[in-house]
Amino acid sequence: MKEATEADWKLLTDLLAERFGLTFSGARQEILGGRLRPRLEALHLDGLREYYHYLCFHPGREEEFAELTRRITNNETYFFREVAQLDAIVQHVLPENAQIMRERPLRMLSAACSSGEEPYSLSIRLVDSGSELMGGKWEIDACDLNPARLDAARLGVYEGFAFRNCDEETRRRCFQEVEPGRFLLRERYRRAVRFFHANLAAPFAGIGWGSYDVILCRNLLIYFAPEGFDRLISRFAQLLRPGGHLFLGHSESLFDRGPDFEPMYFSDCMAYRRIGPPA
Amino acid sequence: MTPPPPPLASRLAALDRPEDHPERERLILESLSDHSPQVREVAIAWAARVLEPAVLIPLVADAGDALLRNAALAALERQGPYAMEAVERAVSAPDPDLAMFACQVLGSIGGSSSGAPLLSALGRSEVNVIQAAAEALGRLRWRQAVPTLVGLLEKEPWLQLAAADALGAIGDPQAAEPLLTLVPDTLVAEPALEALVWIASPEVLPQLLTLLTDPGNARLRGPLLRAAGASLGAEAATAAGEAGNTRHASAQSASSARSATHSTYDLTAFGRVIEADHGETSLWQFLTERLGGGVEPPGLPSTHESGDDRSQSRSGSATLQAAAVLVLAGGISSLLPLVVRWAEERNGRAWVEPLVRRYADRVVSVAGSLLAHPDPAVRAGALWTLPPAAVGAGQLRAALEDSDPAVRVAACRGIGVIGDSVAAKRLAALLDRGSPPERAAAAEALTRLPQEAQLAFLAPRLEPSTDEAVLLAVLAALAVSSCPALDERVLHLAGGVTGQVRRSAIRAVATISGPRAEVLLLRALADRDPGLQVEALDLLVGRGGDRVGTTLLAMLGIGDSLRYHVIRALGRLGRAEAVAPLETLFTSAPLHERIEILTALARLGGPAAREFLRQCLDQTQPEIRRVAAQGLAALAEPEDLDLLARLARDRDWVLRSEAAQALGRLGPGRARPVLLDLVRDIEPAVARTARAALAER
Repeated sequence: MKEATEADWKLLTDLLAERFGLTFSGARQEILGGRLRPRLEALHLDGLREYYHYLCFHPGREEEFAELTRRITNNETYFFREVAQLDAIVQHVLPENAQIMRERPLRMLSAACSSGEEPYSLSIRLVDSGSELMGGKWEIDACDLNPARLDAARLGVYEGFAFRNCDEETRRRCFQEVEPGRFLLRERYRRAVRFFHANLAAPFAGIGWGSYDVILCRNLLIYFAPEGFDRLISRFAQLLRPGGHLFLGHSESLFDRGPDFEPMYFSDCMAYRRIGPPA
Repeated sequence: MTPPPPPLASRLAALDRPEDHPERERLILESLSDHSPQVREVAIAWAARVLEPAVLIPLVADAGDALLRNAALAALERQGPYAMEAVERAVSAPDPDLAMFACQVLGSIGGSSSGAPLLSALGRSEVNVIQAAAEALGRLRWRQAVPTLVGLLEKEPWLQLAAADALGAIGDPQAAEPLLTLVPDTLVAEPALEALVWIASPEVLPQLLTLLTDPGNARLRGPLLRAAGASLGAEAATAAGEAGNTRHASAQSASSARSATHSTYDLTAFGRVIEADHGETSLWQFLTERLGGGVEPPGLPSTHESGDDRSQSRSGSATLQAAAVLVLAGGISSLLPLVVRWAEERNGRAWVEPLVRRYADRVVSVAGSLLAHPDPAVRAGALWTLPPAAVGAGQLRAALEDSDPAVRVAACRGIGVIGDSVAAKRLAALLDRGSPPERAAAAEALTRLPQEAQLAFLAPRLEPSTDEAVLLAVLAALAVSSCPALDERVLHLAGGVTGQVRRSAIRAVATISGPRAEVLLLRALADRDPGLQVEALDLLVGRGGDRVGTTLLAMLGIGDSLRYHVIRALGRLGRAEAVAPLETLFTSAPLHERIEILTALARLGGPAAREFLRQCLDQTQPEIRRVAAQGLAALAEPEDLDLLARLARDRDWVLRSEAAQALGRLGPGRARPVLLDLVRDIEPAVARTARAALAER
């Protein structure tokens, strides 16, 4: 296989940034190279420039982009990751919106949900909070770029590593062991989540404006180039109603990133509130 | 009141191609200290492109504006060789800040002429300047600086630290003894040991081992172990298993080879000292843990936290390999199982095998106990690393009956190497009923046995009625090493019922010489499985042959999806008669095929292909121009400098990058001005390519 030149890398990574908003530099570039190598072999291509041509001009390019999506997305996730944010939603966001929740469902979006651990963790917390018993309505949407991960999410079967932050009691209560070491999330938690496919970096991501009260988008922005980062934050500003909350990963920040959000501090975590007049 | 700055978009727009702007210099200079990183980044690119180093260097001396200073430094770094002379002069500036920053810049852009000014900066009185100069000399690996840097090891800790790092980077064995004087009782003991890892000098091995066995140095055991391992030549094995993993692998390999062959130090005495104490805080225990033994179960060191270098053990960390080489060199037999265990899987084998080969006598002498070890990973690892002839047919046959499949797989390989026909029946049984890795290993071993065994045990398993998993395993083995006695059967299977069988069969067919095999591969070009068609094409191109070119040229007339692959195959086949038909096809072909036609023409070369590519530079489709330029750059010869200079001036950065790449390959002195211009290109990828091209001289 031909060694990639600076130009080969730039052409390919610019294409990925444009298509998915994702940035690949330094070590991430090496990882990308490692993930693509078997694919290039399967396509009988002799290097990154040929792959770039394939993605841009070959009649099978759309199928290849779908395949590429499966290879480049980071599927690292698990139940109750950064759980303090889920607790903040239950303890602060729900009470704050109690009136609204009696009139209409509180709408939440888990962006880049991978195989569903995040929206399902939220679902478990919300069901367990008993808010529905008090007349509160809520719903969770969850989207991801990778259709295969969405299929896995809809299936709702998990094993091993997905439970690294889930206590035994919760696992027994919320999951049913369907075969040794594999656990199906119980129906009452699964039915609360609606999955859909979306490329958040695309100009039209298939999501309406001003639709959501809460958005969780954790540990995704770290992979975005500055332009993609800003574009995605603008998209979230459109998607969130004024007063709505945006939860990011603990290493992601909106500091100095524009006027649409203000930080909000909870006891063990923080979020960003969409600035604007209350709905 | 100061008016608010224009919005970000206007500031960026003002910087968009400022070449024609009447006040471009002022605009760029102002933008270098813009509060937005985005604007500064664009301004830095333009500053590198259009401002002379003489304009940028005074900005580095401006202590009042850190943003401006950093931007000027970044621009100078981008200018690279273009700015080098001016920056070298700045090293002797009276302003210590300017001199220090100049040293730092030279560390990343300097060349052979930068050594002398940096060396003279080591004689200055300002600590910051000396430190920066030492670091830069290290980055440039300027060997003449070694004696002066060694002198700095006696100065204050900051300078000791910079000198130790620089000496490690340079890797000169002269520095080994002086660095060792900093161990163990100075603040820079650890950096000094890290430098010794890079130097890998066998001369200091005895002192390193003495320090390592001293319980008072427990806190330094990791770096001491790595330094000793490097001295013993652990990196030679690393280089064999993981090429290019070190800062200056070639220097180390040379040094390591020297240590492996010339070391006369009695390492077995050292080994006996280690064996004598298995206590909780002993060196024996430390080595055990580094090798992934101790309290954790075998084979699970990767579950450690990421701060612990045992977590990297599977990929062969320096500490692990140093521990292994010490155990082998010292003949520490109680720890040998922990070493050979790493060879149980492929990544570990890459570095364990060369080490065991080097110290084979130590391992062979305990082969019996390793092969009887209760841990199957040890038994398998021993079988993978020990010479099969030393293990012997009896032991290998016994290992084929082992309860663990990984051991049986390793035994299959050994049987194949020694060609033991007596084990053929057992191999056949593993082929029929074993796990997939056992099937593959057994089939491979059977292909290496004498012809009678092949006919007796492989031929019956090449019938169309054979269980498909078995058939596929045999065909996969035959694709690696052919057995002429079985050719007839393999040729027959190329028309198999399932796609998988046909695919595996044509891979095996490709290893068979003669026209019948070629006909079968040509026939596979019309297979109903498109993936198999492409694979057949690849195999045909790989083996060449008279009929292939003719057939492929005829296939250019077929307008289906295979034509894309046929075009590519014609390029790889290298047949000059393909040039004209490809050029004819170009006008009517869709874009993705036109791109492949140009790529194929670039592979084929010759005056006609070059002329065609040259004409394509005048096309309007950007990608056609890019691929044509890529081809011309690949074919360029020294007399094509004018053409490359034209590409270097193109508005499309990809064409400029191709020019830089080609100029780097050709390396004529006349190209230097073109490259010095490209080094300041507004597009960083072009600038970096040009810089690498200049560095290659």
